[in-house]
Amino acid sequence: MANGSSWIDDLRWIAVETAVVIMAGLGLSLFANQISPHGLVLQRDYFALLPAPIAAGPGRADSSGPESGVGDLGSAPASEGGLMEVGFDDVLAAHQDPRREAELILFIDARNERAYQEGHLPGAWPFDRFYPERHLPEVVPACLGAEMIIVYCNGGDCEDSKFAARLLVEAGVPAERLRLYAGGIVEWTAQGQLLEAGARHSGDLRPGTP
Amino acid sequence: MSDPASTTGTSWRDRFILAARWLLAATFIYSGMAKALQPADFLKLIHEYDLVRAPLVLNLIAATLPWFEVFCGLLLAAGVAVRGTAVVAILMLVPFTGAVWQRALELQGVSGLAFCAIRFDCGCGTGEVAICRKLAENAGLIFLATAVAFSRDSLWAVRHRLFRN
Repeated sequence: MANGSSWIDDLRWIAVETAVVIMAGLGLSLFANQISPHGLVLQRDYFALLPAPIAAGPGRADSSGPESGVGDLGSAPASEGGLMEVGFDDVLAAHQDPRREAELILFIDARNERAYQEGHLPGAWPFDRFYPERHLPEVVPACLGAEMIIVYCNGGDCEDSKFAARLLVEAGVPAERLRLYAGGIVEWTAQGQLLEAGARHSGDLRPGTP
Repeated sequence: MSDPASTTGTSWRDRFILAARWLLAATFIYSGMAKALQPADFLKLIHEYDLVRAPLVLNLIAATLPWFEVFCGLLLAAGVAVRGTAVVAILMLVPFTGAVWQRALELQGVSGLAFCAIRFDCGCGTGEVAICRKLAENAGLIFLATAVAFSRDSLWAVRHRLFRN
């Protein structure tokens, strides 16, 4: 049986070993995050909302955009961050509007890549807001040419659409053109609407699982 | 490395420590990899705990903890720095279990459900779980890690003690 001093000695060595494991583990973990394709940017604030309410009152559309009835969408109160929210009826009307085909009305899916591939609103652009660098080069020019951009995520407590909208505004997209669809995918599928699986415009339409 | 051929004379305690080591290793590697492959989902979950608000600290936890778990799991599996790694496992498990408990109490306050009826994704890498089961699992893991931390040697270990072997 070990005597008292050997136990104390043992504890010392365990403490040293613990410190070595922590230091080595932290170093390797930071390196793994750095080289991982899913790595996070440590300095980025992923949960920053728009700093001040956007001056887009109910019924107001971007004054620089062409006149349109759909541009008046957004009778719901502004959400946190000041962006206007739109409900299912408005979203469905926008989705069926012929100008969606002309890319004047855009849908932006703010969920992750896996969820997007499983099923998104037909024609929606992917925009995983945790990896904006992958999407901004394509999405921003498209947004700048659009009259209205509807951003959505899962719905319910999901806030990814708000954060994605913030990133788009920071990238130069006029906030007045942005709308948040708070009901998201959950409401869209619950209303019996089809989803598009795979890539954008894949044509693989299928019913979602509410 | 402890010679497996000499295991004929091993005690139940040696076999228990080996099993505990490998169970902890499997748990840490599995849950770590599940989170490391989707760190953004893990970041969202720990943000929901509302325990840390500084973005840099939040990102550091989400970016490093999953890989750190994998690293600890590999050390335990191979039997390297076993006691120190077991102490690190305890240092991760105890505060995390407290945070899960606290979050469950908050959800219970909002929902009015019985405590054991609370289910949520705790960020454990296993999706939505029943809280009482999760707490029991964590208590078991803490017990096993404590047993491993106090072990003086173990079977199938490359280097049980990192120093003074």
